[in-house]
Amino acid sequence: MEFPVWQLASTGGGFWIVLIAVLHVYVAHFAVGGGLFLVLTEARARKLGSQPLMVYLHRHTRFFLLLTMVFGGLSGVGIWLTISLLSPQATLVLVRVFTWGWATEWTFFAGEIAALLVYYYGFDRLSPRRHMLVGWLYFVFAFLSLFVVNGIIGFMLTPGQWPATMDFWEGLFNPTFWPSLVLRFALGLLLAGLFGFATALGIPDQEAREGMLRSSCRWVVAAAPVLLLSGWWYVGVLPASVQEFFLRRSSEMASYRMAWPALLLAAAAGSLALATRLPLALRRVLAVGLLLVGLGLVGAFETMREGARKPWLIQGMLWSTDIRPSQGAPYEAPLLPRAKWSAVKDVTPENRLAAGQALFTLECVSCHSIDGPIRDIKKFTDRIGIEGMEAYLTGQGKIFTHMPPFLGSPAERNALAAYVVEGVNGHVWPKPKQADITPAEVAIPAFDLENAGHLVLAVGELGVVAMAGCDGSFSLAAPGNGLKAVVIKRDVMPEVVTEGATVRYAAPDGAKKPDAHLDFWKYARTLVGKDLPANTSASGLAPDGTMALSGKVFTASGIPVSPVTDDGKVNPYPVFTVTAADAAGATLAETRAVAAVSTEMGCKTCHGGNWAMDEATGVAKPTAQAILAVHDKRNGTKLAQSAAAGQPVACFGCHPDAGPSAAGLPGRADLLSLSAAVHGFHASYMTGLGAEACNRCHPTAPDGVTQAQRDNHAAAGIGCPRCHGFMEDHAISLLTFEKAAGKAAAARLLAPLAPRSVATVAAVHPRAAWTQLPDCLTCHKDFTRPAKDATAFNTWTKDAAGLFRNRTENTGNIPCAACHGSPHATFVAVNDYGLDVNNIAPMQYMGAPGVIASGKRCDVCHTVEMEGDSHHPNMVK
Amino acid sequence: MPPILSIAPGTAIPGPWWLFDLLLLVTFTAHLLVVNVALGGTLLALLAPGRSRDVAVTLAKRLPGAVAVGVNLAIPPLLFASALYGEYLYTAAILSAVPWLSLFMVVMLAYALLYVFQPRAARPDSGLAAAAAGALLLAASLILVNVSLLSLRPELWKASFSQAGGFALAVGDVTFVPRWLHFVTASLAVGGLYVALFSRKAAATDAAAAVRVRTGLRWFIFATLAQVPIGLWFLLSLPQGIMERFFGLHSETTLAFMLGLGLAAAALLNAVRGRAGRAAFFIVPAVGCMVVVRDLVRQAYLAPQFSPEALPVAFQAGPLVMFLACFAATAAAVVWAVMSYRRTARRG
Repeated sequence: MEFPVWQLASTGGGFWIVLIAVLHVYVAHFAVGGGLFLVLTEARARKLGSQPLMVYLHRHTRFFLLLTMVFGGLSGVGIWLTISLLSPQATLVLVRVFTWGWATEWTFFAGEIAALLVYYYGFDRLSPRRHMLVGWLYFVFAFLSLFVVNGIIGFMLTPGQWPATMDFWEGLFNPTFWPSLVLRFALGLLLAGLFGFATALGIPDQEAREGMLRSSCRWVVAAAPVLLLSGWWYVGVLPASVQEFFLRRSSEMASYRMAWPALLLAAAAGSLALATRLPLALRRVLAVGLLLVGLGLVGAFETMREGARKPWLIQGMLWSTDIRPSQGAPYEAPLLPRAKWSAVKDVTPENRLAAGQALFTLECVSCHSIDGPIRDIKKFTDRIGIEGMEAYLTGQGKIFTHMPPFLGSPAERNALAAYVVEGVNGHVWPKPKQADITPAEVAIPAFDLENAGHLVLAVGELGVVAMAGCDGSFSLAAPGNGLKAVVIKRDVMPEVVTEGATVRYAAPDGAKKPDAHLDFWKYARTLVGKDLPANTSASGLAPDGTMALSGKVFTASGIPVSPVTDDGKVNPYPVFTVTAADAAGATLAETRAVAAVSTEMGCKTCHGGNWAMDEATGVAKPTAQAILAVHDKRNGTKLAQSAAAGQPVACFGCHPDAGPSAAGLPGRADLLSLSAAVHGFHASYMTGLGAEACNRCHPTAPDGVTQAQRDNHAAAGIGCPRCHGFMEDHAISLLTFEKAAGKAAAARLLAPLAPRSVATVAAVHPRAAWTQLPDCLTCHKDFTRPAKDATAFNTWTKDAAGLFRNRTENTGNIPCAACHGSPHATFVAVNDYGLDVNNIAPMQYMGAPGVIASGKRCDVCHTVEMEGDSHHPNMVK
Repeated sequence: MPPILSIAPGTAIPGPWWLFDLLLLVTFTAHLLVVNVALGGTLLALLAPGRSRDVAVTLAKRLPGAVAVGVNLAIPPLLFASALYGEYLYTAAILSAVPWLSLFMVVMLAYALLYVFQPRAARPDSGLAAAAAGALLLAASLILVNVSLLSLRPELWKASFSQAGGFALAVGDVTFVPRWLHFVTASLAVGGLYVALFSRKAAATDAAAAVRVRTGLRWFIFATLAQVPIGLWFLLSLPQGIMERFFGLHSETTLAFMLGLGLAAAALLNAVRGRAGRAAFFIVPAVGCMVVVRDLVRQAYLAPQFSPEALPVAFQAGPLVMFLACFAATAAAVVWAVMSYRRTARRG
């Protein structure tokens, strides 16, 4: 913000820090442990009276001097120069807070140089006692230098009480000071042993050589367990949030956590091997390998320390972008006008990419490169478009806090996303086009209004069942939908027929083999825990079958359905035939109803890839794999691995799902419900949006291939948020319920969310997924036409019995949906598939679309004209 | 910033500004003297190796140590300058990031080459290592002058930033060349004086050492005399308002400048008389005076937009006491170690 940013996109700032810091720390720690190695080896050589050892030590000291003073000293300056270039604000904090600490460290460094030069040049001149004393002096200075720098570096990760007291000593002797000091000192001792191998192998005298190799081995083997234990201690004193990130949340850290003991083991084992009588040539190779192991240990430690600090350069004070939170606030305000060095100050259609590049420089380049060796932005973003990139930026720093939050206005966010997608990745994503839909031709069954003795009203259980269609990777919902039917004997006072009646359903031709188009049955054993016969659902239903009587309603819940027909075309609306017969098998009535299913889930927008089918629907395998990879990365699961092994899992197998598409699986009670998990997670990435947030995942996009939201609400311009709340509200309502149920993950997902329809999180009423939904009567008070701005959000049905799809009218005979249509497809329903397919019952029984019996068409059931509101109040209005 | 912080971290200095300024002046003087020995000595080893390469050989023994000490002595002035002028220094460094980051690698390579040169100095064909080391140290001096100058000239920043790749140079500034020549010439003078100094005791009995004394003093005298036109050029190239501060407009600047000139003249006179020790006695405070002048010029450049006096202070005595105590203890230990070595060296 206050400083210019060095345009380092080709490598990313992190590369230089890693390169210079790791190499410097490697040598600088050797300078400490190696100092002790010098004096103890000299003491040993003098005790043994070994001239070959003294000659070796002189030679080793020259090597030590050249390496630690030429490279170590200068690379230490190099770190200063590097951090002041890449993180000038952070450097200023360290310089000004610890000026006297650095100055003190400098005195020790000066002492080191003087003592080492005298030690080396005085090798043959000083008395043994004085020479040893000078050697000890060097070691003490080197250790004290580490002592001070260790405190200042630790401050960056764990400033402890410093922000409250601003006390130098609180900052220096911060919570990680002692474990870090022990660890770093032990690392120095280990490195001293490793370098000891490298130089000792050149001793011509065999006895002296083997003795030195054994001695070096002892240094490594003794230091290795100390490093392991001090590493444990170090992690143990980290603040809980850092510990949680380091141990559980950060998948990047996992490999380093594993590498640390593995490298220690390798160092110890290799050292023991070196102390044996292997051929010299082999031991030289091994010694080089061990030096690389040592470098790996330093690299792993420094990477873990830096990684644990994310997203901060100095915990709580400066983000990795070198921006203070106070400078960034308010986060949603335009950033470019506040950035002193930015040449672009606002976003226009003409400068969008230039503005995006300026934002990339401000907010990304400190860590991310473009085509560089470290954190190449292309690797993270190459698969997604602008919309997905914006979602990532929106959610950045919220649930996963390893990156700071995006700072800037929505226009700036869009500009940065456009720059990354178009400017960096070179993708020009085609604009989504209207799905190519052929209107459905539906033969409306005949109905003899004058003479028909019975009628049957049938509807789909759900307006549509949304599935992912990637059952080979995971299953979000068992493929299929349900049908409900009620058989009515027409009369002056009609009766619902149950006794002796049979209701059968039959899938249309071309829709009787869903297993030919969906992999669900292939993987049924791992998805739902049992093998299923082809085209048979977990509830035992087939595409054709008999409906079961439940109260006064015939139901078939879980009919297997595919949105793809046998001719390979997408058809989310297969029209089933429903036939009611009497005990003798004679047909009483026949109708048709849609059991709608869709695989139109736009996961690809953020998870990459393309549609699986016809550029219109289905989660393709690469997208599904990417989703599993994210799940694994963030939750420690191995879903991708099991899917790759042919054992995909069902989301509802673990996350409880009270909906009708969970194949009867209970899920794990300790996990968030599927709806809460999915909405709760994604809400942080889709803040500030309207119904388009819903349309990204649900098949409700007006230009999509399904257009599932097809009822009169849609026609009136009433989008999802009016009833369900905005994405944030919706997620909060689900998560607060789960939180009250004691599920820990709910609080984490809730933390970044702010409601939009009400003022506070507490004002959002908790609700259980699938059983508590918006109540129609909230807006349609007493079944009247609602006010124009009416909203159903935050008033939930008490339980599943109150759901529109489960309720009946006042007499208790007819389900609401039988006359009004399926949820989200209430009559008059319209989409590009045409009027008939969406309004079969009214077209059959009334010859026109509309709610059954609307327009005073009581004659559909009643054989005389009727008055009054016997089914529900105000029904004649 | 967590709300608990009463001041944004990194904005306050932990002591009065004048204390940091004093330490900056003292340590920068020490740094300048030692790096002048390193740079000037390297150039002298190359340009005036002496008969039988005597000058080159005796210098070669000492040059790596001089670089090591010079680098070490660069740390405190960089630290104190960062504390006081960090906003300006770091901005300039970022604008000129590529050369600035290469600085430590350039010096590291020069340092390594001087170790390569050390055992080979007697060989006539060893000049390549010295030449390469000298060229690298000259490059380092150019980098430092460039960033120092950029840090004084915020008006150059915006134009420099348009390049954005970290290659901003201040070579277009009229003071750049005389400023650089002033420092390089000074290094030749100090390098020459150093040769004379370390040779003077042996000169009574060793003819070669006596020659080295004369050679060293000659370089000191001619280089110091060369400072007259170069220094004048440098002075006249400064913005008029700043230049006039040398001549009465600003009493501290005028006093430090005149005192520095007088001490340099005294050093020169003693060098002409062959008194290397006395010349050194005068040249050290002369350099100190010039460092003070440089500091006052920097403050004049940055005024009125910035003054270190305006920095907020968050003083805590304990850490300062720690520094002073550690400095004293370390200095005592170093003196003991060095004296121990020197005693044995005298014994032969």
